[in-house]
Amino acid sequence: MRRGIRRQLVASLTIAWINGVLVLRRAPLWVASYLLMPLALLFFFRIHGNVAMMKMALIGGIIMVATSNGISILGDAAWFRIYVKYQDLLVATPIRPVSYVMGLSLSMFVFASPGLALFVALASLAGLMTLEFALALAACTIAVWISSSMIGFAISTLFKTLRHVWPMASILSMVLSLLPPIYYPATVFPQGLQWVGALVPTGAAAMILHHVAGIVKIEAMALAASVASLMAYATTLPLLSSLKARWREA
Amino acid sequence: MSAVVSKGVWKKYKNGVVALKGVSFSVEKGGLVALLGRNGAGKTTWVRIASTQLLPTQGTVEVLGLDVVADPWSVREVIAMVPQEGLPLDILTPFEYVYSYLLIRGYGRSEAKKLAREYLALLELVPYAKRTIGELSGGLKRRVLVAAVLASRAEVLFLDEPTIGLDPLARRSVWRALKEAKRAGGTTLLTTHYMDEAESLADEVVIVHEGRVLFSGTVEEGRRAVGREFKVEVYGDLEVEGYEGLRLKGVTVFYVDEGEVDEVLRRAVAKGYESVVKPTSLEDLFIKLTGERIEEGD
Repeated sequence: MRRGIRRQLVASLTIAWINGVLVLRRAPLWVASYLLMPLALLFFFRIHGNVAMMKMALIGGIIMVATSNGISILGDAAWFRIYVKYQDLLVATPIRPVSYVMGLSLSMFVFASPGLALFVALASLAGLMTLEFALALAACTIAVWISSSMIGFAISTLFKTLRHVWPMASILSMVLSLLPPIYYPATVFPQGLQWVGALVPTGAAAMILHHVAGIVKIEAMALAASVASLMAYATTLPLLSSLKARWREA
Repeated sequence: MSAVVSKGVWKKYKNGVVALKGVSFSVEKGGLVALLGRNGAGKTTWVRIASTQLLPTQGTVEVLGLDVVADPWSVREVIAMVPQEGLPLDILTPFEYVYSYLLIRGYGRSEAKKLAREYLALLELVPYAKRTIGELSGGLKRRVLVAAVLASRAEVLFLDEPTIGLDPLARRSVWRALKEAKRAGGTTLLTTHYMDEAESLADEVVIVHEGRVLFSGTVEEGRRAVGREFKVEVYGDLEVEGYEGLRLKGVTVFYVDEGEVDEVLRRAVAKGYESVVKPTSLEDLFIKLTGERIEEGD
């Protein structure tokens, strides 16, 4: 029997395998479903916009893929807890809540990976991939994935029935991907107020990437706020989600 | 030595419902105990407390000497549980489901594979091992879940209605697996409202009704507690002088000894009622204790 951290790590990876790799292999249509919107936006930006707008749509596509897949943990976690009682099954095992949440979150990343690969390839073709941009992109994508999946998990714990779960995942995904300055420049905000875009992790990531790619010149304060906001979300939300996992009810 | 000890367990939910009212009983190590009761009796609430999923309002449950409230992580090392109405993940094959569950519990890959194969065979699931669970019938799905939990070889197993919805053959397949787990030395506590299941499997039964334990003892002690050897079920509303009949939804039940059977039967036939004579069973103990049949609550 494995014990300690190794057991928890294997547990997380096993959940990612069954809920990510195997599901992706057996139900690949999901990939098309989440790629449709960012590819459609890219198409319209390419047809009706300039090169800068197309680059913005490529960055937006990466953020949208990471966000929509991260948020979709909401449906899986609620399904596991409410319908198939998989969470109940696992509570009566040595797996820790943090390992369970991490496993589900990793499975979301597995799902996002074909879409991310496609957009990264398109971004390379568009000449976006400098070393500096690639590093910023990797850090921002990981932070957005962690933040959105943790938000999704925390919200899933609030539902007692599945009826409202699926629309909530779509709403959250759209709100986080389209309202913040992802598909538009943060410069539309009044001067001195660009930091407003950094209030949500997706907006913060987009502002950093727009700036690094040289598409939009972000104010120094707004840029610092974006970095701080993204780091804060990526580190505190996992803790919050683990606490919200409700391993035992009162 | 007791593997599970429940002492004065109360559970009052936030909505004011009192599901358990001082539940006390114990399960011997290596024993198989059936928690019998209607839906809503409090069985699932008790199992959820004992398997560290729910906090009791009052009282204690110990599993192998470990307090489920104070030391849940030690308890989780030694238990496994089939949740009520639980379903295996439909996109996986039965093998993947059992194997992944064992990996999550901490088994190494080769041991997990070996156990998964062994328990799928025990539950007669080998012909379906490579189909996705979504393609299987409800009964087969339930057996996959039971196979995973039994394959864990946890020292104490909690099975909440493991055979609900299964056809008689599938139920017997689960029974065989539970008997096998018992032979291997495991302690099992299962909830059920199937009397035949309790009589066939359990060393002891605990009858729970409206949050209270009404009886705790062996199956034989339960039968003896009925007080009579036979029952005559008369399909109609019959009164027989000198005998007390119990009316249960169109059937009048008379509890009698061997010498009294003929008398009650003669009266029933004289009035044109169909009637059946049966030896008394645990169901009659339930009726005697609650005034109701166990399955009317469904």
